[in-house]
This record gives sequence, C-alpha cells and structure tokens, in this order.
Amino acid sequence: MNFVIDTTGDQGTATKSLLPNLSNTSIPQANNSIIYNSKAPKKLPTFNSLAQNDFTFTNKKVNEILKKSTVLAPGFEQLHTVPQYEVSEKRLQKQRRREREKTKGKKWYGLPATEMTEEIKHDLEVLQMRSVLDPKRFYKKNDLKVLPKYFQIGKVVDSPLDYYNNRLTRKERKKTLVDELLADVEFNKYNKRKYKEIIEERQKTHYKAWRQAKKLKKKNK
Amino acid sequence: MGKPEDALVTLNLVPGSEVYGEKRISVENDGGEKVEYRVWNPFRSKLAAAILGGVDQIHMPPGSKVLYLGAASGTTVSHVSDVVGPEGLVYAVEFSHRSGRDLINVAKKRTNIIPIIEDARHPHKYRMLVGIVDTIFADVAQPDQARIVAINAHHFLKNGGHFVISIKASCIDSTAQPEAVFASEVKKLQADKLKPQEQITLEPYERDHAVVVGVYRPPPKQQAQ
Ligand SMILES: C[S@@+](CC[C@H](N)C(=O)[O-])C[C@H]1O[C@@H](n2cnc3c(N)ncnc32)[C@H](O)[C@@H]1O
Repeated sequence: MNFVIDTTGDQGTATKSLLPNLSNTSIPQANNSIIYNSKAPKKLPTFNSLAQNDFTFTNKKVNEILKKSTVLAPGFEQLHTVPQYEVSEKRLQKQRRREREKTKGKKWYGLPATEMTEEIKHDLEVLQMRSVLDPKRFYKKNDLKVLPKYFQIGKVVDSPLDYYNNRLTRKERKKTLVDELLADVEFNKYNKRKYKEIIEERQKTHYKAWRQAKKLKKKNK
Repeated sequence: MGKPEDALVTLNLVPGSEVYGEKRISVENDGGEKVEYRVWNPFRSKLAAAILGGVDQIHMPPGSKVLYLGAASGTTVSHVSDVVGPEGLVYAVEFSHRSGRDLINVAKKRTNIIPIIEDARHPHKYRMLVGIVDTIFADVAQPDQARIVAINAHHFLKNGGHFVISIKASCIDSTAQPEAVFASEVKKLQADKLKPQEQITLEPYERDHAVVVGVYRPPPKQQAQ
C-alpha cells in the first residue's frame, strides 16, 4: 500500500495529516541552461591557442581544462547562440525562485515537489475520493481541493508486530493504488452494485421527469 | 487489501529505528536518498490529538527548544524530537523512575532529547541542565499543573515564548463540569502572565480533555496590536 505524505500552508511545523494541499500548478522543470561561471574567461585563451597549434597540448591536458569550463561544455558548437555571460538580476531571481519551489522549504525539512505522472495523479485522485471507497470507513476531510504539489510516496515498513493484520501478501501487493483497487474482489463487487443502483435510480427519475414533461405539454396544448 | 488510512506522521530523526512499535513509512527520493516517517497516533498522544483536532500552532518549529513536562516513556517526546529536528532540543522532565528508564533509552538514540528525572515542581533542581526555551509543553496530569507550568515558565521560558498544556478535567476536579475546570485553569494561568490564545477539546481522541495554547509575557508591542 502506498502512502502519500503531504503538507499544508506555511504554518511552520513539520506535522500535518496525510492529505492534500497546494496548487495544481505544473512542477518547475529543472533548469538546464548553461550558467555563467566567473572562472571561465580565464580559460578561454587556452581554448583559442588550442585551435591554432594543436600539437603543443596533450589531449589529456585540454580535456582537463575543458572539464572545468561551464561555458565550453560538450555540444557548445551546436548551440545557436553563445550563452550569456552576464546574467541579469531578474533572471537570477527567477532561477532562485525556481530552485526554492522545488521543495516546501526548510521548515518542512525540504519536502520535495514530486513529479506528477499519470499514475501518481490517478492515485492521488483516488485518495482524494477515499471516502467513497469503503462504506464502513470514515476519513478526515481533505485539506486541499486540488491535488498536492509537495508530497512523497513511500512504502509502509513491514513490522513483525503486525504480521497478523492488514499486511498484503506479495501477490496482493501492487504498484499503484489503482491497481490494488482493481485487484480487490470485494471492492469491485461493491462498486458494481453501487453503479447499478445509481443507473437504476437515474432511469427512474428520468422516466418520471419525462412523463411529467409530457403531461405538461398536453396541458399547454 | 489495505484500504487507505489517514495518518499524521513525523520525519524520523533516526531512520531505521522505531520507538514504541509505531508504523514507519520509508520513502526513496529521486536521488536514491532514503527518508522515513513515523506514524503519530492521536489516541496515544495528546499533542497529536491536538494537531488533528485542528489546533492552529504548537510552536515547535525546526530548531526550537522545548521544555516537556511529564515525558513518561517518551512516546510523544520522540515525535517532538522529530519535529524540532537535529538543531532543536527537547528537555524532557519525568519524575517516575520507571518511565524514566524508557525515556533515557529513547534519548540514547536521539541526541536532541535531554532526559531529566526530577519532579517538575522543583525546577531549581534542574536549572543547571536547562537553558532558556521557546516553548513549554505540559502533560503532567496533576491537580497543580497550572502552578507547575508557571514556575517552570518563570525559570526557563523566554518572554514571548509559548506554552501548550493538556488539561485532563478529572485530574483537577472530578466532580465539576469539565468546561468549568478548563475555565478555572485558564484563569490560574492568566494570573501568572501566561496568556491563553487558543483552547480546543480533544474529542474524539480523549474525553474531557482540553489543550490550551498561549503566550508568556508577550512583548508590549504585540499586545498593542
Ligand atoms: C499523562 S502522562 C504523560 C504522557 C506523555 N506526555 C505522552 O504523551 O507520552 C503524565 C506523566 O507525568 C508524570 N508526572 C506527574 N507529575 C509529575 C511531576 N511533578 N514532575 C514530573 N513528572 C510528573 C507522570 O509520572 C506521568 O508519566
């Protein structure tokens, strides 16, 4: 069984109930752009002279020097433009913000923004609707209306203390919550029954509405 | 199958080890780095019950120093130790030697817990061990709890620091209405410059229990607001 750990707001303590929070905004992408390195210009002349007389340098030495350069990274020749040397304050701010948004911050011991895959999204949606999974169980209400941004997914550590209850056998254990639900016979039975009930109920009410509408039409004629 | 269960958890300060048989959840980050959470049961801890009951603040952020009165075997103390983290400190006072033994064992693995086996009525006995703290938590379940909190506050609590106390009505007056008991306890606190800010009951986790959160000698500027 998967667990999701998640936070609310900035209340400053690292304790909070499991379910959801924060905006559904997309996860910031890692910024792979080349970052200006103040040491780089000193290395540049070396690079130029390399172009002029290849023989004076051993390949090894060149590679060593090049390794230190963040500007002359592999694939440099393929770039359309030379990366900017001076990075504007605004851009730096943006970069810092992006870096900051990768986690919930120090007060949450760096709880990360986990990448939202389709599978994870489905599981989170199931968790948000968990109150309907089992008619005999009651849950706390959701902290969040949207899916959380900062959360982690972990596994319950098997404890020898609870071998007698609640442990899934290796066969029952599935990769996602959705898979587990689909493999659950009881749940599927309950689900099918509920589905049928809803459809029947709807047909009834629809039929009544249809008849009433017909009556009204007749009267108006 | 295992149906979803809601749980309050704290980030385990000592991954790989549990304290009282609580469930753990292990998480492997993208970087392959492992972290672990411990489930905090509100039926076994009044502080957890208060958090799930929706208390606004427990005033124990990472890095803070907490004086914990009535530590017992250290179950709740261990979660407070998780919450304040490696840069925080928990001074855990307990006068029963029997519980104290367990508490000392918990503190062996968790270096941010300082166990103190003394009577919380006599803070001068441990004043050499305890520095100024940000927050006092009390769960001593004694009729004179308000006084115990007050003398400890006078010794160790910084001005503008906070207190979080659990009040079990039947421990103070088993014949009076719980609400009346809570109100009279709050009055006692006020008389000692412990200004209550929030009070919640611990239903459905505990009966006739309240948790009161407040501030000690708030700076005048804040009072004016
Ligand atoms: C209700 S239990 C505390 C449970 C603990 N807070 C927890 O959540 O795990 C109360 C504890 O306070 C201790 N106690 C009572 N009076 C005390 C005093 N004057 N000084 C220190 N500890 C005291 C008792 O020995 C007992 O272990």
